[in-house]
Amino acid sequence: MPLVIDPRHLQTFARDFYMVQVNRHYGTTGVRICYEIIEATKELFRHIEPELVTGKLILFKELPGIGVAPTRTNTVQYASIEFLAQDFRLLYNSSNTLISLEDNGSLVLSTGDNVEIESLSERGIVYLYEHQKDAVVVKGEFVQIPTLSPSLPSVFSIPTFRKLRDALEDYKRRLILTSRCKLFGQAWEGGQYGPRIFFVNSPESKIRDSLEQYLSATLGADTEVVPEFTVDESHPVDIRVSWMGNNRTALIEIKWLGKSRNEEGRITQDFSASRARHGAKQLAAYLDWRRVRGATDETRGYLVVIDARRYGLKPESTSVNRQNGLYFQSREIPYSPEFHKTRPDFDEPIRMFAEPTCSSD
Amino acid sequence: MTYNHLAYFDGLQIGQHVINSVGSVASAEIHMLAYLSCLLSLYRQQPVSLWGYQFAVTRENYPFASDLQAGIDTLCSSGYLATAEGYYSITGRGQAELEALQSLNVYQERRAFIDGACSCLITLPISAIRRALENDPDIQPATAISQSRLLFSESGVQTLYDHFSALSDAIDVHTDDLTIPAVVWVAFLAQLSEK
Repeated sequence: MPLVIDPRHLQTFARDFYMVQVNRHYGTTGVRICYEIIEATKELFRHIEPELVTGKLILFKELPGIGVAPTRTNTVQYASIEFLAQDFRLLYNSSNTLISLEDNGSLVLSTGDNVEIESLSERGIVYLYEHQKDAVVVKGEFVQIPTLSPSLPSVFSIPTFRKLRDALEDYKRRLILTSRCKLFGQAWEGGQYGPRIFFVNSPESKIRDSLEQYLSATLGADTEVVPEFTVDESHPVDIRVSWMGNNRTALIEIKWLGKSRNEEGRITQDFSASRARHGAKQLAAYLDWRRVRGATDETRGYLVVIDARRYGLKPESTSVNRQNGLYFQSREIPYSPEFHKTRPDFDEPIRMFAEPTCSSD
Repeated sequence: MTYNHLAYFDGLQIGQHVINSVGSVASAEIHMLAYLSCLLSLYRQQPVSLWGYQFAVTRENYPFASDLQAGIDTLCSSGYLATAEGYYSITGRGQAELEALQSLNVYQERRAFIDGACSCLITLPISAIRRALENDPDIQPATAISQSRLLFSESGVQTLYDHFSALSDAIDVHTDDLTIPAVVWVAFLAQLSEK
C-alpha cells in the first residue's frame, strides 16, 4: 500500500528537529559549529565505546563574540581527539565530562565540575550524550536527536563497513560479548542486565533481529539485508545480504549454543557444540541447493555461532561463578568436515561468546 | 550513449565529497546521493527537467540513472575515478579535473545541491540514507509492487513540491545551507520505517 505522508506530521517533525532548532536560535554560525561538534563526537566514538559512558558526556563550542568564558577548574588541554580519548577511557565513571572545542583546534577536557548545561547553551552549542541518547541543548531546552537503530548506542557511533566479515567481528566484540545490544539483551532471561545464564524460550527471533538490525545500520548503502530468506521450502536461512550492482550474496546461518528456560523454570533447549557442526552442514547444503537450482550470483555462506554455554548449569540455577561462567570463553569449536577449508564459498565460522554476569563466589 | 556532461560532473563531485566521510563509494551510493541532490533542486522549486538526466527505481529499490552510470564508467576509463572491489574513489587526476570544472558557471547551482546532499553524511550513516529513501513518496509506490519504473512523473513531482513547500515553511528561517532540509527530509523518511 503506498505510503501517505501527512504534511502536518512532516512540519511538526521539521520544526522540532535539532538542526532546525539550532539554525533558528543560533543562525548559520550555530549550524556550522554544530557540524564541528558532530564531527568531533564521531571521531571520539571511534576511539571510545559510547556504551561505556555512564555519566554525562558534553561537547561544547562557544559562539564567536560571546565574551569572556567563565573559568573552569581541573582542565587538561589536548591537541587531538585521539590523545583525549586515551585519558577519557580512565574517566568513564565520572559524573560529568565536558569537552570544549577551541578555535585553535585544541580540546579542553574537564571533569567532575557541576556543569550548568542550560547556561552553557546560552554561550554556544551544547551536545549531550547520556543514557545512550544523543541531544543538543538549545537555549536551555533539551532537543533529542532521533535514533536510527535501537541496537546501536549513538547515531554518531555507527560505522560503515564495506566487508561483511569486518561487521560481524565488530558485532561480536562490541555488542555480543557483554550483551550491549538492547535487542540481543531481550533474548536473556532477566534481560540485558540480568545474570545472562539462560536464554528465554525460543530466543532465535530476537537474536536474528539483533544481527539483522546491526547489519542494516552498518553495512554500506549498496547492501540489502533481508531476514529469513527462504532457500528452499522447508529451510529458511536466517539472513541474506546482497550487494547491488554486482552479483554477490551472503547467506548467514545463526546457531545459538547454551540453555533456554521457560517461565516455569523448565529447561526447554540445551544445545552443545554439535549444534554448531550441524549448522555448518546445513549451510553447506543450502549453498549446494542454490547452485543446483541455477543461482547465478556469487554466494558465500557465513555460520554465526552465539555461544552462551555455561559449565555446570542446573535447571534451578540462578547464578554462575566466574570459573563456570567463562569456562567456554576460549574453547573454539572443532568442525568436521572443515567446510571453510575445503569450499571457496564457505567463510570461516565465527563464534561469538556472550559473557554472563558472574557471581563473586 | 550521448555523453552527459552534467552526469559526468556529478560523478566527480560526489566522489570528492565522500572521500572524507566513507572513503570510497559504491555505484549504488553515487546514484542515491545524486538522486538526493536532485530532490534538493526540487526543494528550491526548480523544474526537474533542469537536472539534466532521468532516474528510475530498480527492482532492488534504489534510484538509478543510466546517464550517471555512463558518466561513472567514463570517469573510470579516463583515470579520474579508481575502482577496487566494486568501490570508487577519486584520483589525484580526478581532483584536478574537478577543480577545472568547478570554475565553470554551468555547474555552480548543482554543486550546491550536491554539497547539501553529501553533507548529510556528516550527521547520518550512508546506510540510513538508503533505507530512508525507500520511504520516499516517489520511490515507495514502485517498491511496494516490486516494479522498476521511471521516477519524477508529473504527479510524483507535484507531490514532492507540496512536501518540500511544507518542509520549507517549517524550517522557516531562510538559509542557503541545503544540508538542513536534506537531513530533515532523510531523518523524517527514516522514522517512517519505525512506525
